[in-house]
Amino acid sequence: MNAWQRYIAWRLLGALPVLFGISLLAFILAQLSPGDPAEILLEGAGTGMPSDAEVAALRSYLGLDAPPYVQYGLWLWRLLHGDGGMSYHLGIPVFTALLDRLPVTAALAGAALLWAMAGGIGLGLLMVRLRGTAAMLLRGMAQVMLAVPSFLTAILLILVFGVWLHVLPTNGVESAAGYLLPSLALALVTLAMTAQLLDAHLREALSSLYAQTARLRGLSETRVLLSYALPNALVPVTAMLGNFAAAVLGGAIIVETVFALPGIGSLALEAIHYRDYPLLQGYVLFLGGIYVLVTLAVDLVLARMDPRIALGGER
Amino acid sequence: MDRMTGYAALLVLAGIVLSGIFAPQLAPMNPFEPNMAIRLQPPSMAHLLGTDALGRDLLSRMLYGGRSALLLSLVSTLLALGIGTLVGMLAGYFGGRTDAALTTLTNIFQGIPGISFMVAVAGFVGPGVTGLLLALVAGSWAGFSRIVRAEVMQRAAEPYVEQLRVLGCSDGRIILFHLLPALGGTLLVLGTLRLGRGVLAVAGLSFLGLGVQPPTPDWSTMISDAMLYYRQAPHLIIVPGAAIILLVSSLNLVGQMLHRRLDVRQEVRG
Repeated sequence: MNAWQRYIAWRLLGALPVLFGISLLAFILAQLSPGDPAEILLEGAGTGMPSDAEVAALRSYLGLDAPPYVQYGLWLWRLLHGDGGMSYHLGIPVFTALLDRLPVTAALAGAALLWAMAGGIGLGLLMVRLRGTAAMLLRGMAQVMLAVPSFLTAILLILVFGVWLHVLPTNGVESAAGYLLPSLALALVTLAMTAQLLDAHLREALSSLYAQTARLRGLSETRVLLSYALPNALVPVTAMLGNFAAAVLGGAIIVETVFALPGIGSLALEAIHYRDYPLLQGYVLFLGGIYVLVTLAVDLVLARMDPRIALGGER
Repeated sequence: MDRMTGYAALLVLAGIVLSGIFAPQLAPMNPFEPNMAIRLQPPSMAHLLGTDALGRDLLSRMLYGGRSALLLSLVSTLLALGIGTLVGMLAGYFGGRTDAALTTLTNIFQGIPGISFMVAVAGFVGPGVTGLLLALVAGSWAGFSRIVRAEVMQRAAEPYVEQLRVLGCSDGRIILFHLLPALGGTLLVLGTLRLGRGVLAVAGLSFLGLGVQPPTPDWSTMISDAMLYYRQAPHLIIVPGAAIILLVSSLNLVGQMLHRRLDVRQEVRG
């Protein structure tokens, strides 16, 4: 095996215990929840005051009277067969419910990633290219953007573009324009972080010896920036955007609430409201699985971009 | 320029903290007392920032409204810093299998991303302060652990640690009396930068109804309450919103100032 194959194998093996641990964490979290699933189910089914015998019968039917490690083993076994259990309040399999709602959140996440990528790289380049007051203002703006909670960004965008300017729809996703504001609200903090990171790395690259050499060879400053400094600075930026891509499906929960979008985040909040713990558990597992897999893919891309990562083994 | 910004941020932060501490003395009215006759009033001489949907004085509620977020962020940051430092130091110092096991543990906690993990923890435990604190600590200790581990690995490889061992120092003594003090700057910077993110996390969870519960005045629940009236009374959103932005950006700027001044080797992001 060469270094590259070893790196892939090592990363794949490393992901397995993490996935296993996430399932254990999701199981333990559900054990922490107050209230007995059997009682919640019976009350949800219309049995107003279930008797002790009824609860006990359902508990033994659901396997809840088994010791926790047996319950976990059984649950994990079903999970490995794609069965995450039934949602209490929807009455359909948990993963079916999540997949039904996924398209909205996925579209929102994709649009947010575009905002963060285009906006962050554009803003970062501007910060380096502009001089004096303009650059200072942009850096100050990025600093403020980091401090705005996403629900506030969302409400302010609705207020400005929907209510005061009347130019964009503020709820519903009937058209693609409906995604513009929610995805911007979701992306804003990462957009600012990307710009700051690019700014710092570009400034470092521009004062490096290879940039000096390029200037001495008579290349224009724009050329030095775009073809010498930028490719190097893009490695940490890709790492940051990759991490955002892995986490954004979960981060959408607040923006979905403000814009009343029917995604997986609002499904999770419904689950909390109805004490639908299997559904909430499914949400955690689903996001954890996606996060681990996307992070893995991003790390492989990064190792391709910068072979030193694979050669050095662990970063 | 940078220095001035840092000091200005420190001043703003001190102002917010002091007004929170002395809210009972400073508040012109009772922040809990509704008066339906004067709902949704714009700023006036009687109510400098106007009144909310229940006719409560906005200025008084603003003074009280930063307390819970700051306090919860502070307590959760200290707890998470404690756990993260312990795990990170053990992993970084002992290396090998201990490191592999503890690193897997941090990867698991970082494997369910950010706010969704905190929402889930708070959702399973139930709304309220306990669930909120548990969610914040569970969602942030692993990040500390990762950076402390990297820092301890670097420092443990330095000659003075080897020399201490030759002198007969036990592992525990080296960790407690020689490595931990050297981490002081890193922990202070990490903690300060985390405070800002903690305030944002408390705000987000409270906004979703999973954190600070009404009628406690809190900037983010004030915003979520005001969402019904955003056309009539946008100031009910803008005033607490501006306060959150000021608080978080001043915490970030102070953290960045400390980062420049103190001996911190790791790349730490706010």
